[in-house]
Parts: sequence; structure tokens; C-alpha cells
Amino acid sequence: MKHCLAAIMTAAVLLSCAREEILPDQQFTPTDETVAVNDAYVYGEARIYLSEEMTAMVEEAAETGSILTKSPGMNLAFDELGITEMYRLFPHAGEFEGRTRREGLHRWYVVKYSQDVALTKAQSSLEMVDGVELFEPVRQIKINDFNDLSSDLWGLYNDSNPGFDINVKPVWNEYTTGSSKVVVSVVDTGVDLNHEDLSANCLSTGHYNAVSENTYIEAGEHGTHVAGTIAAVSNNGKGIAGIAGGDKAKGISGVKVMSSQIFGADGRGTGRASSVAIKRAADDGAIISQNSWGYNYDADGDGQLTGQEYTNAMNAKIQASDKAAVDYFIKYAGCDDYGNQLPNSPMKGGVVIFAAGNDAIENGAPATYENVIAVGSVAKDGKKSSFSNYGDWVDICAPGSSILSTTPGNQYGNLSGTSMACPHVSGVAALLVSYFGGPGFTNEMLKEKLLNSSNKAAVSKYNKIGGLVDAYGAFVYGNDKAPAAVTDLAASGRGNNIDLTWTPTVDEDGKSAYGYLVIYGKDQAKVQAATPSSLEGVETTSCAPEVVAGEKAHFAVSRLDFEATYYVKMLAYSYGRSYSAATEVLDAVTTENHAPEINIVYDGEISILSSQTVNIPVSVVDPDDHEVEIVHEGASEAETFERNIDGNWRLVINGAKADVGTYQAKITATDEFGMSTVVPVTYTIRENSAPEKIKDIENVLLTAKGREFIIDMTEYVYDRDPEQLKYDVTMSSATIAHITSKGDRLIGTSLGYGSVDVTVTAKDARGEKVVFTFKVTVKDPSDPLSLYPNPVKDFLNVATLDPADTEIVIASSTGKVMFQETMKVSAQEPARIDMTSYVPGTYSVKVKFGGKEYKKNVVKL
Amino acid sequence: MKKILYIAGALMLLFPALAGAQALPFTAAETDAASLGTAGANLTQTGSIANASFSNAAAIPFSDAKMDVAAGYTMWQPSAVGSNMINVGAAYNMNQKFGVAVGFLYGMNPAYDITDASGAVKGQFKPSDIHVNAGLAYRFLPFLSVGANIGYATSSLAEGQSYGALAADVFAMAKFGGLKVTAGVANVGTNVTSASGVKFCIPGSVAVGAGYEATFADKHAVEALLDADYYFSGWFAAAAGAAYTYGDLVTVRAGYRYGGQSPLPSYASVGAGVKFMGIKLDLAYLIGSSAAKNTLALSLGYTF
Repeated sequence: MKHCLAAIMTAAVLLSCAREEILPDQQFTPTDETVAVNDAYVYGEARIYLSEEMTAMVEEAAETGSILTKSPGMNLAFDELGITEMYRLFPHAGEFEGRTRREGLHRWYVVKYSQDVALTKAQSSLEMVDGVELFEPVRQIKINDFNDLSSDLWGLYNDSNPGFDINVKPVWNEYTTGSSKVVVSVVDTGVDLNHEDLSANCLSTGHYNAVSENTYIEAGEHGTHVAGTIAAVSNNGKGIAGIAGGDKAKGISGVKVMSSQIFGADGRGTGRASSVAIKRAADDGAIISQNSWGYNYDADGDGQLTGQEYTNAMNAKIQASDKAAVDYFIKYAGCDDYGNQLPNSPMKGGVVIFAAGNDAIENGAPATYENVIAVGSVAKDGKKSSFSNYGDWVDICAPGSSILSTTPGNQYGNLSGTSMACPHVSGVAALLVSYFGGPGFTNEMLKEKLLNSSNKAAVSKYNKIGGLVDAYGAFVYGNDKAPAAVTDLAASGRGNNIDLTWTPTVDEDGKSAYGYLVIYGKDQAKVQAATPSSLEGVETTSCAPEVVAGEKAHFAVSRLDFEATYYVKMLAYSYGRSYSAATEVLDAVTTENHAPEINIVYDGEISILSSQTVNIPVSVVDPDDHEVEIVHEGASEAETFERNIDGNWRLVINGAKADVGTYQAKITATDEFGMSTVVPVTYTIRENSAPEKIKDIENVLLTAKGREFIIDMTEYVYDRDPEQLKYDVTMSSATIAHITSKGDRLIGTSLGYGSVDVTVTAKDARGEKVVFTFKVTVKDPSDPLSLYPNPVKDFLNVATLDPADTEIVIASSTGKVMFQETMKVSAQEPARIDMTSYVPGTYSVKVKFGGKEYKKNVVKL
Repeated sequence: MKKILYIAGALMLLFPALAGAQALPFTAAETDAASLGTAGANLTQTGSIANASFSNAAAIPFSDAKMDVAAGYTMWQPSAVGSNMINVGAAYNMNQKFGVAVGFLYGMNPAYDITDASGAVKGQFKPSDIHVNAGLAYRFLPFLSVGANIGYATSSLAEGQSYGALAADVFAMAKFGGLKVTAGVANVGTNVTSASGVKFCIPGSVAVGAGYEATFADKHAVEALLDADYYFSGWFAAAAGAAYTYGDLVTVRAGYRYGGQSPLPSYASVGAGVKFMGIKLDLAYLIGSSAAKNTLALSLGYTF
């Protein structure tokens, strides 16, 4: 029965005791006793942390094979909750059992009970038991990624936005591509250990499936993708290059991937396996723990954090069992049972790297735990990924949007998320250990190189996702020459900014400073005393302004207090973070806030016709460089306020969309501190003149298909306003002619023989109109008699070519004459004969004109 | 006879709204060449009874023939609509007591151009007419018989547009020596409704007929025929014809129809026929200024 103390209580022990206990790091807050579905937790299972005494009792019972302990309280809780199983969370660790017990991990137990029991009930029952020091519900965990499509390895080499990648190519060229002595535990879904671009860099043994508690790894997309970013075999002519994937062409192995599976095949995890997987990897030789997962607070599973879900997520911290496992990994990875570095281990102690999470909130357990490295995500353009969690607790950021990597079945695909950013940092960490690792190299040394070298100038500090991981920077950290100190720093206050100006410096080889560290604060003494490695009581920011040769550099320290005195000094630094001497400490006084300035560009009075639309450029500038909110308060429907692609605005006034009159709109610009400027815009929409008909449009007769005709509408309609009228053309048939308007002209083309009634509506901007009707007739000269429609329901049109006196005789199928008359008929003025009273049948129509007789049949329906 | 006139009068009162134009006018057309030779005067004609289902079934029991079948072709009014008609008819005379007759007519009209409301030509369609009839007769006294026909007529005028109606004839006929008289109602039936919603009746009428036949010197036979129709719509029409037959071999015919306002206009007719070993070949041609001119009918029959 392995390490399990399965227990089914059958007897109630009538002993109870009351106790008060504070649950450190307890994130589960009991609210009621219902068993409502809550996807944030696993039901019927919890973890408890026992006292030494209770642990001894449980272990003693296990040794005797009994399911009963000597603790009446525990036995009573077993009965109340229907506990069916109880076993060690962290199994017996063999040669590492000693350190496991020293760290107290042997006191963590998993209890399984009826799923009908509410979490609150289980918690209250177990907390009542003497010897149970902590109750921890099992949180659901989730993968921190998104799916999308794009394709490149921009995270490694960003050619479209140079500088916004992890800068790893120079490391491969000058230092290392990885080493098989470094083992990275990928705590995730299972890794596809047989992937063509990954298998060579996977351990042959040592993988662990913490879900099913065996060594069979089920390949999952997420874990395989994460592993590929770290260690896909490089330079092998296949797929992608991993960050620490070695160099296949040169026979150099990459770092080794250990798959620590904590999610089932369906991608869902329960969280109960995570701590076990983290801890076990340290015992099995891993020194880097890569974790692209987090707790799930989306209790209702609707894909968003709302109400209590959001509150819970914002208050969340790492769970105690995971914290214990993380601390164990950091302390014992690469070490023997007593914490001494193993002879063959590249590093003493481990690093645990966590994805910050994808909820776009200012928290993200378990990554918020201060002992782990928390990784935020940036997009290809260098901006924070919209989904990335953020906060002062985020240590570093890396590419995480649209990342190409390996997926199961020798496939490749793009995923997005802090899950994808995290392995970039793990990969760089693995490279560092590959090169610098060996006796005496510690996890703290690794963290210093990794975190202190991050490119803080590339990412705004206000994004709160740390600096961008810089592989090359981490390798040269502290190993190059410091630039000369800045000697002419000038500081002046502007609003709540301090503008700095100085002459850029170079090192003794003439190499420009890589960046400048600005140390500032209100306490002159603390600013004076501060150094890059000792920044107590001061604020810092970094910059790397682009400077034209011979000119001075400029930078503004922003978001300070208004009307306050600050002290500031500057240090230039090299790429390897070698710092120059500091400048003198200068003082600068920030000023009062200045209101935004609105500039509306329009000459003279704004007076427009209904037909006119004017675009009025609006630009807003804040003298203090504050964010400005611009509000347009419209006075009529005629106005729209739009933003241009250049970031400026325009007020568009369309005279046709409001009544005639004078209006006054308002544009208000308010900075982030509430300082506003209001500018009124007055405009007048003038009276409209309706279009007037000059004369009717004449009928059009054409004698061939494909003939074009043009009607100049200025001969037929007049508008006193200087506006372009709009002409709508409708026709009773689309097969006889096509007419379209172009400016003031109607351009028509004959399409087929027949006659079509045309209606032209000339409209002005305000919709006032004049309507014209005319007929377009296209006649085939070789067939001068036209009868239409045929069959006829009521009226038959009899048309000839040229106007002529025409005798028309209509006879029934038995020869009875139904109609006989002579009348004036032409192509455009056909005879219109009422056949409504004719019985359905076939009729002959004889027509005489121009000395000739023509006969055709028509059918009356 | 009085009864028949009463019935006709009642029908006229019953369908006053139907007076005016008459639906399916082709049902009033005569297409049997022997009958067309006497301008369509055939109600009391007993020498040729194959097409009795289209005229008067009561004449069958007074015929000397036991069986009469005929098929014909008519080039109908080529100067007007110009239809081509094919007709087939047969009659059986059982012991000069009972009579049975069936007939079929198919008319093919020239194709016309389909045009839309703009005058654009959209295609062609060929209209057609069908008329099927069946008749029964009973001679319940040596000089008196009654007969009735019932049939269905339909015109296909456009794609998916057909108009049809049921029609019936009822006649009584008497024969005294060479004198024959008949009276009845013809083409009484259901209505046709046009696309614009107007209802039309078929061309029903009260019909009377008289005929006299005589033979001289065994080889010379003459027959005089007179039909008159009074349509329910108020129109009057009449036809008179005569035939001379030599040796029961050769017949010549002539006639005149007064059409008035009826569906069939006025015309004169001439015709001829030969008969040998029971096989008959008849021909008729219409003369006049109306649309009926130049109509030509030909029929081939067998009788015994």
C-alpha cells in the first residue's frame, strides 16, 4: 500500500476537544456549508499538516497495519467526514528521506473523504483535531497559455523589433549552447519524450507522472511546447532551436529535460500533484524547476474573474504545501541529504521559476511567492502582453505572445501566455548554469546574474513586469569596463517630473555607456549613500536614451510629487552592469501641475451648409507629459470626435446630420491628476435650399444594344446651394438598360430590346428631392412590331418603331374578332389594350402600319 | 322538347354572370371533315357517327352503321392563330338500341415570344389544347332516343399555366321516316378563372337540329341539315348544309354558317368524301372573309 494509510473509520470515538488555530497562508475562507460546485477546488480531498506527535501516531499505526491512530479526535473526524484514505503527500524519499523529514515534509498528509462533504465542514472537523496544524483545500490549477497563430522564433531573435528578444545569439557564439549536466524539471503536462526535435535532450529516465504516480509520461501540448523553448535540439535541420538545446552539428548536447507531469491527459490538473512533482525533481537531480501553471480562481468556469473570484485571486498566495516543496527544491536541489553540493552537480541549490499568470491582474499565486522567480510576458513589439499578470513581485519578463515551439507528434505550433515567457527565463538560466556551473556555483549567483542583468530600459517600469531577460547581458554581467562618470548632469522640475540633461559618456575604449541608472528621493543623505547594490530608502529608474552625436541626452523622471524637493544622482553603466562613479547629488524642485493645452485649428467662423462636412484638427499637449483623457461633449448629431492614426484628434461636423442652427460643442482635456482645460467650439449650420426642377427628362429611343447615352442633369434640375446633388436611379427592368450617375451626369447603356420606365430622384444633402420619370426604349429595327407583356394578364402594349397610324386587329383562337381599331402608335407611346375581359387563350394580333401587315400571337392568362 | 327548352332557360338564369366571353372556345370548333363540309351542321347527321361524342350521341342508335371510327387532321384558321389539330373518334351502335362514343382532340398552337413588361424577349412557349369526350345513347322508342356526352377540355398557355373545364351535352332525338329532329343543351360545364380573377364559362348553348334524307333510284341520296345554337351568353348561331351521295361511294357537301357574335365566325364550306369497303376519306375546306377562311380538314375512317 505504498505510503498510504488508508483508513475507513467504523467507530466513533466520543472524545472531542476545542482548539484555536491560525492557519498561515490559508487562502480558503469558509463562507457557508453548502457543497456548491466551485471549479476552483477539488472536492473530497484536502491536505493537512500534522504536528510531530500526530505524525508519529499516524506512522506508528501505519507500521502496525492499523487504520486507527491513537488520536481519538482524528478518529472522530474520520468518522464524521467518511475519510477513506490518508497518505503522505511527499512520499518516502529513499536516500533523501533525511532532509525530507528535516524540512517537515513528512508531516504533510493527503486525506480523501466523501465528495458530498462541504469543504467548510471538512475544514472545521479536521481543525478541531489536536495535532492537525493546518488544513489546506486542494486548488484546481490551470495552464497559463492561450492559443493563436503566427510563426517565427522572435523570442530568440526579433528582427522586426530589434532589442525586444532575449539576446541569446551572442551567447551561443561566444559562450555555450547548453550542457547535459544541467537538468530542468518541466512541471507541466507531460513532455513528448519521443519528439524528433526534443528527444535527444530529454532524460532517458527520471521522469515522473505525479498524477498517476508512476513514470509513464502522457505527452501533452503545453508541456511539450514549454520543453521545446528550453531545450529543442538546435542546429539539427529540424523544427526549431531551443535556448539551451546544444549544437547538434557540433555534437554538443543541450540541457536535459525532466518531465514532471502534474496534469492529466485532459489538460486539467487538481493541484494535489504539483508539490510532489516539485519536491521529487530535486531528489532526482534537477536544479531548475520550470513552472508554467497557476491556481485557478475562475470558480464558475466562465473564463473570467468576477466578484468573489476576483477578490480571491487578488488575495491569493502560494499554498503551504507548494511553498514547502518550493523551499525544499531551492535548498536541496543539487545537494546531498545534508545540503552539501553533490560532486557532479553544477549548482548548489535550485531555482524555481514560475509564470506570473494570465489573468491581467496585479497578483498571481503561486508566482507571488518571494523565493521564486516570477516571469511576466511581453509581446513582439516590446509592450506588456495584455494578458500578463503584473506587480512589483514580478521579477523579470520574457517573450510570451505567439511563441513557436514543439508540440506532440513531431508537430510545431504557436501558443501565447506567461507559460511561454517562463521557459525563456528557464532556458537562459540553464545556459548560465551550463557555462558557469560547477563546484561553488550557487543558486543565488545564478539569480544575481539573471535578474540584475535584465534590460530594464526596454520595458517601462510602470508595466510592473520587471526588465526583459537578457541572456548575453547575464553572461557579461560584471565582466566589462565601466564607462566614465557623468560630469555635467543638470536637473530641473517640470510639473511632477524632473528633467535631466547630461553629456553621454564612454569607457576607456571609447565604448558608449549601455545605460544610466538614476537614483532619486527626497532624503538627500539616502540618495547620497545609495549605490547600485544598496538602494535602501531611494527610488531608481534606468534609461538608455538615443542621442545624436555631439548632443546632450535627455530623460525625465516622472510620477513624482508636485511641488516637492528631490535629490538625484546618476551612474552610467556598461552592458555587463559595471557602474561608473555617481554624479554629484543635485536637487530639483517639482512644480505645480499644469493643465493640458488644447489646440483647435480652424480659420475664422465655423459656418457650413447642410451639404458640407468639415474636419477640424484637435491636438492636446500636456506640459507635464501626463496621460490625458479627452472628452467631447457634442451639441448636435452633426458632430463626431475621432482619433487619427497619429494619435491626434479631429472634430468632424457633418451639416446634413443636424437641424439648421448654431451649436456649441465642448472639448475637455483632463490629466491624470484632475487638471482640466475646456475649449468651446461654436459652429452654425445654414439654411438649406431644396433642388428645383427646370423641365422633365425626355424619353430615350435607341435602336441597338450596347449604345451609350448621357443625360446632363444640370439641364433639368437646379440647386441654389453649391452642392453636389445625389441621383438615385430606379428602373422597372434591369435587362433593357443600365443607368448610373457620375457627378451631374446620368450615363446609360442599352442592354436589350424593350422598354423600361426610369425614375431619377435628385436629392440634396438634407434629403430634399425632385423626382423625374422617363422611358428608355431599345427597339430592334428588324422586328418593328412589339407585343408585351406576353403572356398578358390585363393590358397588352402594342408598339411599333416610328410613330404611325396603326390598325390593330385581335382575334380569338376560333377566329372571333375581339378588338379592331386604328390609332397612333410608336415605340415610346405604345397602344395599350385592355384584355382583362378576354378569356384565357391564344389570340392572333394583326397590325398594319407603314403599308405593311404584321401578325403575332399573344396569350391571355 | 319543351322540357329541354325549360332546362336551357333555367341554365341561362342560373349563370347570368357567365354571359359574355366564353372560355376554352376551341371546344366549339368543328374538326371532323365530314361535318365541316356541311359548315358544322351535324346534330342530326347519322351517316358518320365516329365523332358523335363531340356533337350528339343521341344520333348513334339511328345510324345504319354498327361501328364507326375516324381520325382526322385540321389546319385551323391559318390566317389567324393557325392551329394544327388532330382528332380521333369512335362510336359503337348496339342493335340500334344503345350507343357508345369516345373522342380525343389535340390542338397545337404556334409558339409565341415570351416578353416581360418591358418588352424584352425572355423565350418562347408553344400552347396546346386537349379535349376528351365520351357519350352514351339510348333509343327507348323506335322513333326517339336520348344521349349525353361528358368531357374535359384544357389549354396549356404558358409554363405552369393551364386552364381546364368539364363540359356536358344532353340531347333528345326523334326520327320519322327521313325526317330527323333533335334538341338539347351543349357545352354546359364548369368555369375558368383568368389570372386577373375574372370567371368565364365555356360556350354553352341550347341547340336544336333538323335533317332530312332521301334516296332516289337506289343510287342517289341527298341529305339536308340545319343546326341552330342559342348561347347562354345571348348569342345566336346557325349552320345549314347539304350532301349528295352517289352509289354510297362518293359524296359532295356544301354549307354555310352564320356565326353572329358566337365564338365561331361565319363561313361557307365545301367538302367531298369517298367510301369503299367501309373505308372513308373525307375532305373539307372553308371559304369566306373571316379568320376561318382557308381552314382545311381531312379525315380517314372505317365503318361497318
